[in-house]
Amino acid sequence: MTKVSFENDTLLIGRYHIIRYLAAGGMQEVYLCHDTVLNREVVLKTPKAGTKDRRFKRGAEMGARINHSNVASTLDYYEDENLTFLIEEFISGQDLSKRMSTEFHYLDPHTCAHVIKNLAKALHEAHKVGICHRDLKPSNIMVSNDFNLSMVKLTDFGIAKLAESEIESEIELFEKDESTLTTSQTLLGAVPYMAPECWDDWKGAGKEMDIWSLGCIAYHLLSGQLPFGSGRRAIREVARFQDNNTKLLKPQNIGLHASSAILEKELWALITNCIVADPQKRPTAENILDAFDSICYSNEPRRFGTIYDFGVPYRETGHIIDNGRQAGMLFFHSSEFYGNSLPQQGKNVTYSVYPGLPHDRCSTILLLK
Amino acid sequence: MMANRYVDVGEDSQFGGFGEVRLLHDNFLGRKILCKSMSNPDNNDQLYNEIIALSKARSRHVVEIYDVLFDQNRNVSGIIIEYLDGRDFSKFYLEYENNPEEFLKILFQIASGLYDLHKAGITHRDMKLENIKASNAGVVKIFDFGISAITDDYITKNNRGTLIYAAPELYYENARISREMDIYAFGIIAWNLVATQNNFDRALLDIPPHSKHQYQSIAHVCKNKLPEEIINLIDATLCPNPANRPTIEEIVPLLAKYLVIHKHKGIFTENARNVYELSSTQKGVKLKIAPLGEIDIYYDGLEFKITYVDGDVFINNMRPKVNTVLPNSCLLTFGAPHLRNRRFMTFSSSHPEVVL
Repeated sequence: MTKVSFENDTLLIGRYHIIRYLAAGGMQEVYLCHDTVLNREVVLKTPKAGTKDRRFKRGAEMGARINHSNVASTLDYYEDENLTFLIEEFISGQDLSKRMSTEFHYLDPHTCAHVIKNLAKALHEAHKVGICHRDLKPSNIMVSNDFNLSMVKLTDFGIAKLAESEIESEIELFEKDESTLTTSQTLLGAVPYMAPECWDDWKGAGKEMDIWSLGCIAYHLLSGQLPFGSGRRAIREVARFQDNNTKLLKPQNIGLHASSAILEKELWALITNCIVADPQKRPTAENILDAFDSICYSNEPRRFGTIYDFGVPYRETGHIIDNGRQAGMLFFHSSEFYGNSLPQQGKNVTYSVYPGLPHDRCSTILLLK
Repeated sequence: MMANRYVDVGEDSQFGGFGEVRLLHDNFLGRKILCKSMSNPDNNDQLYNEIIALSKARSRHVVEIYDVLFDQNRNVSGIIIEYLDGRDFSKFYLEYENNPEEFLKILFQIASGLYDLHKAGITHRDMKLENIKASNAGVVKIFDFGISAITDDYITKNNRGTLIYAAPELYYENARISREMDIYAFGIIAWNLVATQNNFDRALLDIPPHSKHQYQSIAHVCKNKLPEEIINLIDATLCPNPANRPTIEEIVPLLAKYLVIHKHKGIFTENARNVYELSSTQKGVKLKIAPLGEIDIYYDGLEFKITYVDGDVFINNMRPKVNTVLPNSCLLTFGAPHLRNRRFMTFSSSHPEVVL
């Protein structure tokens, strides 16, 4: 257990009461706090002991300049000789990386489109005021705890600023000795989503690298797979892609559903437009938003339940027990089932519900882990 | 508060004559913020409680509160709030005719802000168009709150500018602050977005409102650019009787519905193949499978309606009724349950998501 900077119950600058330690990223510690002046919960982020850095402040300032509800709000900042922290809005939810690794194999195209559109909006607002995220990945995206991920917020513009110098020096180290990759957590987390130009010229890489990352995230959400794998393999594959020696593989779970065929096609077009070796040929965040003006999907509330049977009463239909409602049996058809296997009894799923007889009918049934 | 944190950035024309609001630069986060002086030592606790309630409401359509300032006696002396550097809407009536869609977007965002305030148990008390601005990202926000301790005399306070936002009931003795007065003011905001003093409804300019003239619908000034349901909604917010005004819970979903008017797609599939797609360019379809049955569907810009049924057609296994709406996702069955040659079609509707 690493030593944390603040004990529970510490009161900082007479205002922020530490409730508990939440997590640590590569560069910072994160705490849940009570703001005693405005009597509300907030998040406190402080650079890890030792990383006292002007860039932390620069990062905080950058985050504070983006004022949009798809970006976590920066509320306060403080520094003196002994203390540096920034205060961010408390978001009730989890980061998308955690949700993907614990709950979802992949997302149905509707939910995927919703997440990507909201991220494109966040990026557009950031890029508009001249700010790039530069470390866009699922662990920097907060989503609400519901199953349609209704709220999406991009966080950690601040830490991205701090991480970038770390990444830069790690790239330099990596050039000298490839074995450093596994020891550098910051670089390792960024690699699967990192654009090829970052390896050529980290400092010169700009907004376009965020677009590449967005494409990689869309690929990941839609298929459950990283487009180029992870670790050293990803670096090699991205380089091969850049040299035109390999093509982006279309995930196998795309194109299996008639009702979402158009949407999947639109998403795949978006992904292949973003994941393009030449940064100048990628769309801008604004282009992506424009494209989304005519992309239709459903972001209706989802419920949670368990598959009760399958093959009943027809070969391709079955029933789901709605969570907590023993009497609430629901009907479904496998053509609306999204999962990496056929529906199986006892598996947990999430879905929307519409009235029907003798049971209400589910649609967009997504298999959960 | 720390010394040298906030510095004056000089006179901002917008707040010049105001006195109680100053535009400052936050040296710690390198951004502009507003400092609003407010104090009421007689009622300090109430003032403070209301500030906290506001900060907790945390609506994307209400400005963020960052800090509270206190004087030596621990009384509230001011608040530090988000500075909105986007546009205001005082001249929007010039754009309205060419952009009625934008009118709905603005109204929807104001209503959403008010919804969050009412949900948090806060009555705004000072809703007016001058208190609405956009952020640099174009998000419309309510930026001033009438906090009771400083706006108890709503009518007298408004006398300095314009009276029209005050609902008729506020002119009578023992008038009580209520959510319905926010709804009335919301209706006046809608009028102010499309009309000027010249074509403003005369009943709304009466003192008190509705006392001398008969109210005419906003339909008279909106130049046929608004859907009837929206016109009726705005008219209803201005009812003299507060009990007849819609609640904000009724207003928001109705406005939200019209933000995606004509933008839906309705897809019918059979045997894993697309068979029909309905949208604003292809509005109607006759699905006839002889001799089993027929159902006609028409897209009216908001919903997919069943306009005709004949024979054995079922929707999610239920017999459909004419003039009802297809569920957003459903199974259509052609043929009676005992038949072996029944045919199945699925329907799903969707629309672009409005991300403001």
